[in-house]
Amino acid sequence: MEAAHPSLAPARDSDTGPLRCCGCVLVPGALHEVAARSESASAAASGFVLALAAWAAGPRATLWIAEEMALAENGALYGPGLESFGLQPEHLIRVAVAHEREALWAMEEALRCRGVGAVIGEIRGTDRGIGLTASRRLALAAGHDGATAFLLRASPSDAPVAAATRWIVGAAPSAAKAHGPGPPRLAVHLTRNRRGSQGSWVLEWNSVEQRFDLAAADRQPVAEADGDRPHRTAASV
Amino acid sequence: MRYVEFACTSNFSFLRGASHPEELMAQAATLGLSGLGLCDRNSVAGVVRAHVAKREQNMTLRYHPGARLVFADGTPDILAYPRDRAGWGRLTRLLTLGNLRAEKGDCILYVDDLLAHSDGLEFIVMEGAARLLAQLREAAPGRVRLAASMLYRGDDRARLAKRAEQARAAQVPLIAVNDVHFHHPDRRPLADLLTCIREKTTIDRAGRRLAANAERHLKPPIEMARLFRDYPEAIAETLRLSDALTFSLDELKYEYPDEQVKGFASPQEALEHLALKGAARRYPAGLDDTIKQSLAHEFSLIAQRHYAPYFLTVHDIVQYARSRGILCQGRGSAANSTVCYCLGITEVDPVRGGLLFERFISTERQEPPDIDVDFEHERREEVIQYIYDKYGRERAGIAATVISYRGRSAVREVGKAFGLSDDVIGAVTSSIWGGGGGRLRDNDLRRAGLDAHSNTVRKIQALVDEIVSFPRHLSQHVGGFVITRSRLDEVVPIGNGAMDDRTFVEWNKDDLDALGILKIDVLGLGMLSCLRKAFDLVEKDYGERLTLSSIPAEDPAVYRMLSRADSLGVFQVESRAQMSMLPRLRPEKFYDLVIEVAIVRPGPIQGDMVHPYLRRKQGLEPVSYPSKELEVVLSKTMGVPLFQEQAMKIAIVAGGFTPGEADKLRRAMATFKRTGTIGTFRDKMVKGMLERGYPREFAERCFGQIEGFGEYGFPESHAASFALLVYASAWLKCHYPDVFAAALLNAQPMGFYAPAQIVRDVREHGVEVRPPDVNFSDYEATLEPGPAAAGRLHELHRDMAGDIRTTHAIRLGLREIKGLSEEDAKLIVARRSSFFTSPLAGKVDQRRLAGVDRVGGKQQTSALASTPLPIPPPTKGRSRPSSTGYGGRKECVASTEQVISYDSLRDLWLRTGLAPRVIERLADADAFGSLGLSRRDALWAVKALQRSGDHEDLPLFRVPAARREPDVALTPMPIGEEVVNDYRFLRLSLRAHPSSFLRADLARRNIAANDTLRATRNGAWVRVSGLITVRQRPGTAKGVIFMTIEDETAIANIIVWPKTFERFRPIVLGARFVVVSGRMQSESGVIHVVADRLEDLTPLLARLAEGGADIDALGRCDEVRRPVQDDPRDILMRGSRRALVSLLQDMPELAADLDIPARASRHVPAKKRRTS
Amino acid sequence: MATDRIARRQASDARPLVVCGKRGNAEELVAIDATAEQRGLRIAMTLAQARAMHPELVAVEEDAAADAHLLEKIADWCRRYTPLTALDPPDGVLLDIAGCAHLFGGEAALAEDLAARVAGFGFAVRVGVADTIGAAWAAARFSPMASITPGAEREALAPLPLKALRIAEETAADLRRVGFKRIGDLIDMARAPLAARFGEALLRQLDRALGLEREPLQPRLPVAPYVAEQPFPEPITREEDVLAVAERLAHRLSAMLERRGEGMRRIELELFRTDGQVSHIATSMSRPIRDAHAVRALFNERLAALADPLDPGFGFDLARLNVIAAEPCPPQQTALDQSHDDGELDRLVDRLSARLGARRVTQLNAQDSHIPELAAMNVPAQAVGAAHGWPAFRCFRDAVALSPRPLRLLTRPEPIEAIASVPDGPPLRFRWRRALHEVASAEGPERIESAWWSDDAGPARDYFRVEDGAGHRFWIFRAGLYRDTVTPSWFLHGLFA
Repeated sequence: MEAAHPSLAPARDSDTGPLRCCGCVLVPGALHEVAARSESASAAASGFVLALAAWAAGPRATLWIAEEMALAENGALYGPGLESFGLQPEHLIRVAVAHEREALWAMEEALRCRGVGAVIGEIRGTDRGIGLTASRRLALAAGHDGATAFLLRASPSDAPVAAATRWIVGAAPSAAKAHGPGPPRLAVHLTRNRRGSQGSWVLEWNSVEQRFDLAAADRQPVAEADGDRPHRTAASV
Repeated sequence: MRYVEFACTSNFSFLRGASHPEELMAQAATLGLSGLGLCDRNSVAGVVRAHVAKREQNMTLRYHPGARLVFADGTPDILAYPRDRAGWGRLTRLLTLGNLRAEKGDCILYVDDLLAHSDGLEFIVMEGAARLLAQLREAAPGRVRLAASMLYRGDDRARLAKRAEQARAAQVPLIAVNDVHFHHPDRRPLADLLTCIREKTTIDRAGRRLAANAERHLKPPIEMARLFRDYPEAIAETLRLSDALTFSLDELKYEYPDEQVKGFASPQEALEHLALKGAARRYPAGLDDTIKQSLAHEFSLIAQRHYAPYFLTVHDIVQYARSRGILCQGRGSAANSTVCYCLGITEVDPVRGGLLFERFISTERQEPPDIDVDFEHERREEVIQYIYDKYGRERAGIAATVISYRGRSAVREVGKAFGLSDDVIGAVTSSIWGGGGGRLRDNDLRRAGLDAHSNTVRKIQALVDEIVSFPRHLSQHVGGFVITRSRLDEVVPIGNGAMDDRTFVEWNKDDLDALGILKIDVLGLGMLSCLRKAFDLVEKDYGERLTLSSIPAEDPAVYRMLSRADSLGVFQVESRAQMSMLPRLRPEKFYDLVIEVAIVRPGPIQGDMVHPYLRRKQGLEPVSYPSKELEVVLSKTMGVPLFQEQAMKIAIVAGGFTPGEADKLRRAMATFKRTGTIGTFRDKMVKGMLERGYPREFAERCFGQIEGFGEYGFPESHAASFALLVYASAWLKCHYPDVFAAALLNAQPMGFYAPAQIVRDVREHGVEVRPPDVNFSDYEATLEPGPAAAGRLHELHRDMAGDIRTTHAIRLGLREIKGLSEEDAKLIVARRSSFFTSPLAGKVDQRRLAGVDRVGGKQQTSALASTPLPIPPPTKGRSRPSSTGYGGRKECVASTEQVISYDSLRDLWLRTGLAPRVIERLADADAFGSLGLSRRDALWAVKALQRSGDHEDLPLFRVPAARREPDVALTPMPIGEEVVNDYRFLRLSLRAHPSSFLRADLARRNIAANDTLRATRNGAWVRVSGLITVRQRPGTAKGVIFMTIEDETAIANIIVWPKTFERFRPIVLGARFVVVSGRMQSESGVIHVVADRLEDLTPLLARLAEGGADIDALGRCDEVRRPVQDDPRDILMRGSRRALVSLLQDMPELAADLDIPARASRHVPAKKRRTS
Repeated sequence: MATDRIARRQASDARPLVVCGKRGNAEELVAIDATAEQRGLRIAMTLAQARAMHPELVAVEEDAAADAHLLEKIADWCRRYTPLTALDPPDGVLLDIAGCAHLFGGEAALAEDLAARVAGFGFAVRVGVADTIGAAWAAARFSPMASITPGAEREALAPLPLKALRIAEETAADLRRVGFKRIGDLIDMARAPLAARFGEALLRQLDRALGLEREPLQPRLPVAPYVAEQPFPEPITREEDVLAVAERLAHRLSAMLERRGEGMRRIELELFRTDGQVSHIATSMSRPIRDAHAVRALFNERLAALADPLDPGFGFDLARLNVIAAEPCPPQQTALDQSHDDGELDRLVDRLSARLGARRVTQLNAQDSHIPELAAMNVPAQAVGAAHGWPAFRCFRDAVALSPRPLRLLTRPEPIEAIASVPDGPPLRFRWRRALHEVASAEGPERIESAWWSDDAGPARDYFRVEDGAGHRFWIFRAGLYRDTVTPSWFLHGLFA
C-alpha cells in the first residue's frame, strides 16, 4: 500500500506545491511527522505544517486536533492569520482533546471521512512517543481515503514511527527590511524520507504564491539539527 | 518646528467630522500649528465659521479654506485649495456643478469636472494613483501633491516609504497630512457615534466600520515632525503650499449688484430722487426740518457706504409686491429709517411715537444695513420667483439654514446608536417638553426605565450634550436672499433645494453677515395674509377701502379693547402671557404697543427689567435714571432698558465699549456655545460700568439682558414694525370682529389658536357664525348679511357696543371640513355657480360617447380619464338622471341651462364628479343642511352612490340604479352625537359645547361653570371643568404647566405645579375633559386656578356618542401635541435664575411665552398643516 | 391573548402590561391586559401616550408570529374534544362539536370543561355554543348567554352590537353612523338598500349567523383516516408509559387496518399535556406496516432522537395515534431500514462532538471587531453556517491593507517585562516565560483602541510585530498610550510563524 502511495515524490516541472523549491511534492494519503526544533519553534513548525496541510487538503476540510495543554502553551490557531498560509478559516475544524489517546482516536476517525483532506494532530508528549502501532493505524487510515495526516510534535523524537517523512522545523531570522521583519523564514530538516534523500534548507514562505522559496543568500548559517535542546538554553538566560 | 495641517474635516462633512470648525481652529492655534486648511466633503459650508473664529479671537495662524473633493467615479479624494480669488471662484463653480447635478444635499463630481476647473487651485491627492497623478499634473503643473499620513496602522513607515516612492515616480512632492476628523482624541466616542448614525447601526454592531483608533486628531508640529522623521520634506511641503495660497475669505467683500435706474447717473441719485418723491407723498403738508435733516443724514451715510443699490433693490421688490396686490412691510434697523418710510418700504412713520433713530447704519460697524421684508405668507413664493427671474439663478440665491441636532433629535439618534428600543427612546424624548435643550433629567430617564446612574446612560447623556448643535444638514433659509453683482456661484456654491425651483447657497445668514455679503430677507408672515384678506372683505362687504396706512391712528376704542386683554387673534399679543401683560401695561398709545411687543422676551425678563418697568408704568415707583448720560438712552422706556439697541448703547455709554466691540459682544452671545468667550466681555462690561460709578447689581442686570438678547434679541426697530401690525389687527378686531375672524380662519394655519377658539371668541362678540354648506360656502369663510353684532354681545364685551360695526354673519368655508382637499372644495364651488361655462363643454362629442357603448367597460373609461375631465351629464331642475343608460345624453349635452345650486346630493355628485368618499366627507361634516338633509340622511344617500369611489369611476359611465328604493326612516341622531361629529369633522361645533350636555351631571358633582370664576373672590377654593385646549410647560418655569380649559360658558386658565403634575400626570397628558379643583388667583383682572387635584372626566364624553366621542379641542400652541422645536431655555437657564424665578412666581404665565419667541417672532407657521 | 401569552412567561406583577406594534407611523397598543384596561388604557392608543399616563407600564413588542403560533397550539389542544377544529384568527378557535358533545356529558359540560381548562392555562377565555358559527362567535364575544338554543338566534342576536356579525370594523362604523347600532336594527330592514350601500357581504354574514345560509367549518388539520385515543384519569409521565400506550393504540388500529388490507405509512402520536401543551411525534415507514410492536420500536427511536427530550410536565392526560397516510399492506412485515446519508463531514463532526463534547469541536468565525481577541470567535462546528463572517473580514482586510496577523493567538495576553524606547517605540528586549528576547527587527505600532461604550473596556493598545535574533516572531502590545498613562504595561499576545 505504501508503495502505491509514495508520500514525497520528486518534483517535476509541472508540479506545484509548497515544497517544489526543495525538489519534492507532497503526495496525499500518508502520515508525516513534523517536530518543532524547540518549544520556541512551535509557531514556526505550525506554519510549516499548515502550509503543507492547506495544500494537501485542497477544497476539503482540514482538521486541527490538539491537546488542550498545547493550546494553552502555544495559543490556538488564529483565524485572521491563517490565510497567509493558504488555509481558509472556513475549511478548518478545530478539535480540542484532553490527551493523546483521544487525539489519536479523533485523527483516525477524521482520516476515514471522505470530506476531510488533511488532519493535523498536535501532540505534546515527548518521552513515550505515540508508538509504532498507533502511527501505523494512522498511516493506514490516511491511505484509505487519500487524506493526509500530520503529526505535529513539540520537540524532535527518535522513537520509531510509521511516518513517511520526518521533519524538524525551527525559526530562522527573516531577511531584514527597512521597517520590520520580512517574510517568515524557517530552518527545515528532512530527517527521514522513505522515498528519497534527506536534506536541510532555509525556506522563506511566499504568501502570495503560496509556496516556500529557498532563502536567498543565507545571511546566517543554518543551525544544526542536533539535540542541543536550545529551548532549555534559552530558558536559563 | 512648523507645520500646516491641510486635511481637516469638520462637522460640516455631515456625520463624519466630529468637531466644529471653530474647535479645529482653536485647537490648531493652541497646538501651535502654523496654519490650518479646512476641507469638507464637497462643501465649503463650514469655512466661514473657522474664518470668523480666527478673526474674532485674533489668532495668528494662517487659515486656508478649501474643499475635499469626493468623486462619483471612484477617483481617490482630492483636496483642493484656491491660490487666489479666481481660484476660489473656480472651486465654487466646480462644487455648484456637482450640486446641481444631484438631489438636494448631494454632490456628484467626476474627475473630468476637476480637470476642467483646475486653474488657480492647488491639489493634494489622497491616494497614490499613478494615472490620476499624471493626468492632474498635466492639467495643473506644479500644483499637485501626494498626501501621506501616519495613522498608526502598524506598517506606517513602510507605507510612507511606498507613498514616497509613488510621489517620486509621479514627479510630485510628498506632503504630510493627518487626515483630521476631530480636534482632540477625546472626540473618538462622538466620531464613532456619528459613524453609527451614518451607517444606521448601533455602537456594538458597528464593528470595523468604526475607526480602530483615535489618531485622526490635530497633532502638534513636533509630533508630526517625529512621525515623518523619515521624510522631513513632507512636513516642509505643507509650509510651501501654505505660502502659495494667498486667498482669504475677506476678499469676498461687498459685491452688490448695480441697480441702474433709467434717467439717473447713479444709483444714489435715483435713490434720492425716489425718496424725495415719496416724502412729498408721505408729508403732503411739506417736510419739516427734522425730516429734512434726517433725510440728509441718511443720504450721506448711504452714499458713503455705497448702499444705494441695496435700498433700490428692496424698493424694487416692494414695488413689485404692491403691483401684484401683495401686502408687505419692511422691518429691521435700516427699515425704520426715514428713507425707507418715504420709499414705502415701511409704514411706520419714524416721527410718529418718537422713533427717530440717530443711527441706522453704523459707520464704525462694518455690518451691512438690515432690512427684512415680510410678505403675505401665502404669496411669498411669487416674490421669490420674481427675484430669481430678475437676477437669474447665477446671481441670486437663498441663504442656507444649518439644521442642527436639538434635544429630541439628539436623544433619538444617540439612543438608537446605543440600541435603545423605540419605545424607550419615545418615552425619553416625549418627556423633553418643547424640544428641550438636550439635558436629560434623571426623572425622565427613570420613567423610561433607564438607570440614570449607569455608565451607559451617563455616556448617552454626555454624547447627547456633545452632539447638540452639531449640524445635521443644510436647508434653505426661510427667505434670506443673496444677490451679487457678478456670478453668485463664484462666491459660494449653489445647491438644489428640496422644493422645485429653489436653489440655495451653502452659507447661512451669520456666515454671509460675517463676510459682509448683502442679503435681503424675504419672509412670509401669516398676519399679513390675514390683514389682506380682511381688507378685501371690508371692501367687498362694507364698501370701505383700507390699507395699513389708512387705518385711523390712535383710536381709543382699540386701546380700551386691548387693555381688557380682549386680544385673541391680534398679532403678537394673543398669547396667554401677553394677555396677562396687557391689563397691567394698559397700552394707551402706539409706543406702548412697541413696548408690549418687546417686553415679553427673554432679554428683558432675564435682565429683570419687566418688574421695574411695570412698577413705573403703574406709578408705584418713580422714574429715575442711573445717570445723566443714560437718561438719553432710556427716557423712552421710563429708565428701564428693554430693547436690544438700548442694551448695546449702555455697553457703549456706560461700559466704555466701542460700538464695534458692543456689536462683537452681541454676536459672541449668538455663538456662545461654540466659542465660549463670553466671560471676558462680562468682566469688561461690569468693570467699565463700576468705573463709571454704576452699581454692580445694575451692571450685572444689564449684562444679563444682553445675554438674553443674544439669540433671541428683539430690537426696537423690529418691535415698531410689528406694533403697527398689532395695531392694525386690533383695530379690525375691535370694529369688524366678523371680518377679522373670517380673515383669521382663512389665513390658517397661523397664530396661537385653533378655529374653534376663534369661532368661540367671535360669537362672544355678537357675530353669528353659520356652518359650512355645499350650497352657500366658498372654500374660504365669507360674510353674509346677518344681525348687527353690537346688540348680541356677551356681557364680557358689553363696553364694545358702540365700537362694533358688524352687520354680517360669518359663513364658514369648506376649508374647515377635515380631510376635504382644497381642489375638491373649489370644484364644488365652481360647479355650483358656473356649471356650463367650461370650455370643454362642447368637446365631448357624440361619437366618443357612442364609443362608450360599443367598447364598454373599463378600457374606454380609462382612455377618457386621461383626457381633460369629461363633463358630467347635467340635470334639469329636480329631475334625476335618466335611469335608462345613456338615452338621455343628447338632450343633456345640448342643454346650457344655468344651474345655481345643487338640488340633491346625487346632483352634486354628478356635477362635480367627485369620488363618493369625498362626498362622504361633506356628509360627515353636515354640509348638506341647505338640502334638508341631516347628517345621517346625507350619509345614507352617499352610501347609495357606487362604492368604488376613485376618479376613474366617473358617474358618466355608470348605469344609475334602475329601481326606486323604498324609503328608509333613519333614527335621528341625538344632539350630543351631532356635536361629537361636528368636532370630529369640523374641529368645532356651532350647535353646543359638549360640556353643556354634561352640565346636570357636573352640577351634581359640585362643579361650577367657568364663567362663575369672575364673580369668585381671590383665594377661594373652586372646582371647574372643561375640554383641554392648551398645555404648555415652559422650561423656564421649572416644570410648571399652564393649561387652558373651556366649557360652554368660558375658558379657565389653570396652573399645575410640578408636584401636582407628578401626581396627576396621566390626566394632564392623556385626558381631553378634566375637572380641576384648586384655588382662585386673581390679579389685575387676570384669573387663574391653581390646581390642587385633577380628575379625568373624558369617559363622560363618551356617553355623548356611541363608539366614543373623539372630541379634540386642542389649540395650535398645545405643546404635547405640537412640540416646540427651537428652544431658548438653555440660554435662559444660564442667566440670573433668581430674578427669573421671582418674576415667574409673580406672573407665571409669562414663562409660557418664553419658550416660543423663536416661533412667535418669526410668525411662520411652526408646521405646515397636514393635508389629509 | 397576546398579553396572556407574555404574562404566562413572566412573573406577573401589578404593573399594566401592553403589547404594542407599529400601525402606520405610530407605535400603538395592540393588546392590553386587564390591569391596563382598568387603568384607562385602550387598544389603538399610542404607546407614547400610554407611557406618559403610566410610566410604570410594561410594553412588549408585538409578535404576530408568536401569537399565531400560540393560537395554533390552542387549536391543537382543542382537538382533544373534536378533530374538527379551525383557527379563527387573531384570537379564536372554532370547534365542530356536533356528534361528540355527548362524550363529554353534553354541550354545556363540554363548554364548561373547555373554559375551565383553558382558563387554567392562564388565558382569559369565553365560550359560545350555537348552531351556526356566526351565532356561536357572537355569543362567545358579546352575549351574556354562552349558549344559544337552536331557533332562538334572532332573539339572541338582536340586542348584540353590529360587530358581532363578524363584519369589517369599517362597515360596522358606517352602519353606526347612519344610526344602526345593533343587529336587531338590521334584521327587519329592507335588504336591497342595505346591500346597495354596504355590500352583499353584510347580508351574507347576517344570514349565516341566523342559520339562513350554511357555513362550513374548514378544519385546520386533515382528519386522519384512522384515529385511536386513550384518556388517562391519572396523567402519565414516564416515557415507558408513553411507549406502552403507543403500542396499545397501534394495536387497536391494526385491527381496523387489517380489515381494509392497509398498513401505516406515516403516523403521528399526539400527547396532550395537562397544561395544554400538545406534543406531536411523527414518524414514517419505508413500507406499510401493521405491527404494533414495530410501532413501539419506532417511537422508541424517535423519542431517543428528539432534539429536546419529551417533557411531560405534570403528565399527559390524553394520547391519540393518528394514521396520516395508509397504504395497501402486503401480508409480511419487514425490518425497518434506517440508513440515511447526510454528508460525511457532518457525521464526523457529530461523532466527534458526541464523544468529546460540542464545545471542543469548533470552527472559527470572524467577528466584526477591531479588537484582536474578539475578531475571531470559536463556535461549535455543529452550529450551521458558523463561519459566515470571513468574506466581510477579507473585504475589510483588503480595503485597509491590514497589518499581518499572527498564526497563533494566546488564550490570554501574557504580561512581559519590556524595555522600550519612548514614545511609541517597540521594546529593545523583553522577557517572556522567563526567556529573554533581544528584538532584532520590529514593525509598529498598530494602535487599537478599546470599546469605549463597554463597561469593561481596557486601555488602548499599541501592537508591534517583532522578531528576535533567532528568528522567532511575536505579536506584542503596550497597553496604555503615553498620552494617557505614565506606566504602560507590555503583553505578548500572539506568535507568528
